[in-house]
Amino acid sequence: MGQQEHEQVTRVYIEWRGDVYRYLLTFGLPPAQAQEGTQEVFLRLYVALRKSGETIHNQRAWVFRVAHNLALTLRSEETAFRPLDAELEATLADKSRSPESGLIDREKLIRMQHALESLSPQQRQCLHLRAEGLRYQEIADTLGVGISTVSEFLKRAVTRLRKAVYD
Amino acid sequence: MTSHQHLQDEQLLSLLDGEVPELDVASIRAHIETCWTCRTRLEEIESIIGEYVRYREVVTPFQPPPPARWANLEPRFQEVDRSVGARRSLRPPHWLAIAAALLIVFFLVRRFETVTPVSAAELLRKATAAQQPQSPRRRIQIKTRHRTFTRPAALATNGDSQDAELRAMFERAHFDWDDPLSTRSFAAWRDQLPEKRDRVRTLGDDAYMIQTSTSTGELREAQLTLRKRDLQPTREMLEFTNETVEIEAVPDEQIAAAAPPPERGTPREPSRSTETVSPAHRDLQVFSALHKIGADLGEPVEMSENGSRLLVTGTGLTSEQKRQLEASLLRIPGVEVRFDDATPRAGNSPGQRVTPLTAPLQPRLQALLGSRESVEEFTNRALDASDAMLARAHALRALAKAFPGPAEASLDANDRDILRVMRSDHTTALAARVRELQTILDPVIPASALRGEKVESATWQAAAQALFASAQNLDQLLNKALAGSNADADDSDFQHIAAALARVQGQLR
Repeated sequence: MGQQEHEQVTRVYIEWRGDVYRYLLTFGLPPAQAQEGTQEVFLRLYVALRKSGETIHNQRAWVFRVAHNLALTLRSEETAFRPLDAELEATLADKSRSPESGLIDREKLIRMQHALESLSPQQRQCLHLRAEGLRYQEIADTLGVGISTVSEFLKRAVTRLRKAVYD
Repeated sequence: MTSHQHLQDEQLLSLLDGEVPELDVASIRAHIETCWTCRTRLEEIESIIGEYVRYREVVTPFQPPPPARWANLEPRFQEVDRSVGARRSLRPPHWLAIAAALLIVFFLVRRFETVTPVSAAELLRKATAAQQPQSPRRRIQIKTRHRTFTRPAALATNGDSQDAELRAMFERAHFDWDDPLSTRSFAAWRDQLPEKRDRVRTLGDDAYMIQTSTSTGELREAQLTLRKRDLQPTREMLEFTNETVEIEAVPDEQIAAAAPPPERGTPREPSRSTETVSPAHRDLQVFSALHKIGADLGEPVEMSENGSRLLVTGTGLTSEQKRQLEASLLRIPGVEVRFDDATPRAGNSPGQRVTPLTAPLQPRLQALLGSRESVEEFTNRALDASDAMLARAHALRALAKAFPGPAEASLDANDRDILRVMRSDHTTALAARVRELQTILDPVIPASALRGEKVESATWQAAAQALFASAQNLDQLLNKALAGSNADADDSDFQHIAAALARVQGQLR
């Protein structure tokens, strides 16, 4: 009994834990806490599946929603968004070191980074979750907002990125 | 919508994301076809999405990696199973079931954070007293972000110059590099910290873990695992500001097996570190990466040892497959990727099959199936299913060959989990193909003719080898009977096929 759920959760745990871990990092959680939180999310998935009657239609969306709520309870209020660490900034600034064999336009990356910093946390989360493959309705459920708000957030985020990168 | 009224960015983005209501799609598309301005904006939005995705790809490797190994969740799953099992057998009312489930979550969360009442200082004091002097033969494995090597647990000399950087880092953190996996060194580091937080946890039934973190110095967090039985340190995780070092005791039996006992009179242990990037771990990462992109079926991707490196050669792949392959393999140390642009060898892809005009069993099949067309369709479907089955059996055997018992045993729990999931993927898919094959063959070979005995193998590796042999035999028989040119085929071929199919089924049970 439970073998099927067992295999299933083990599989998605291995496949998605990196994505969930990185999502938790965007809340400013320290790596150790983000990792523990990630493990916790998959454990909750298993509990939910084994609990009678619970059908989860989109497990990936479910996992991100639980991760989101967990992050909100774990993070301290003042932690800032820091998608880039010192190493990457140094790499970008140092023209002699090439990330990905010089194919990437450093200027563009830095502009992208600044544009992302200027977004509201919810706009950023929308963008992140969309990039993780969630549908608007799923993002709306995760963030606890309406679907039209998601659409609006994404539009603003994309507009800002476009201005920053191309203008 | 009139054609001169431009679309809003939100509509364009929703269109790209497939979020526009069905009813509006046609009119929006019609507008875009006529309006250059909107089409250009649509392309701009698409391209900025592309830029964002590329940005994420570049940034990801620079994000801090998970500080510890991923936990094996299996024991916790089993705990849930036990609670659920108990709950079901009691058949409580619905609300009680929910309350019980909530309680389980509560206890699991608590257990996740189980803090034992014993203090870190006290445990360290006891463990230091219990610690045996380091035997000169005791070895440890040290894993950093970029390399893994083994060395004696305690260094008598100043080590090798290649460890200079690590030594310096340990010294700056006031952690003893000469004897890093010891309670004494851990306690000495902990004692000199001006500010610290401790946590003691119980890991299963047989170990304690002391976790000490601090906000000062280069070493921010250290975790020491002690065996409950004798309080000997077995594992340590050191989280430096720019490096993660994992130290593990090499089990005594491995040392005995790997090295002959030192000769009398020369008890000196070489202090030189040896690079030992575990080949099994590396191979598993490669298999897993290939598995994720579905490149572990069939032969367009081959692996070969090239000195100490693993060379992965892809033949005739699309540029998207190449990109995926590179993206997933180039992060694995010790792996090289090459592409051979020759078209894949004929016969590798299932493709369209031509049924020979005179399939040996044609008249018999036609009598059973009705028309020539249905025989053709039957043949194509059966051979395709057989191809797919054989590809899975092949992939399974490749895993068995790459990870024989000892190699599998050298993997950590996490890696073994990955291996288990890959095996289960292939086995499940293989079983599905066999069922499909049985359904296709049913008009010719009724299920009642299939009496396969359950076949047991000592190891999964042996089972995979045997399964491949049977699958190959079945595939050959099918090809011979349905597409071969063997003139003296007769009804006994069906019996052979039935027997071969039954054997495969028995092995899958």
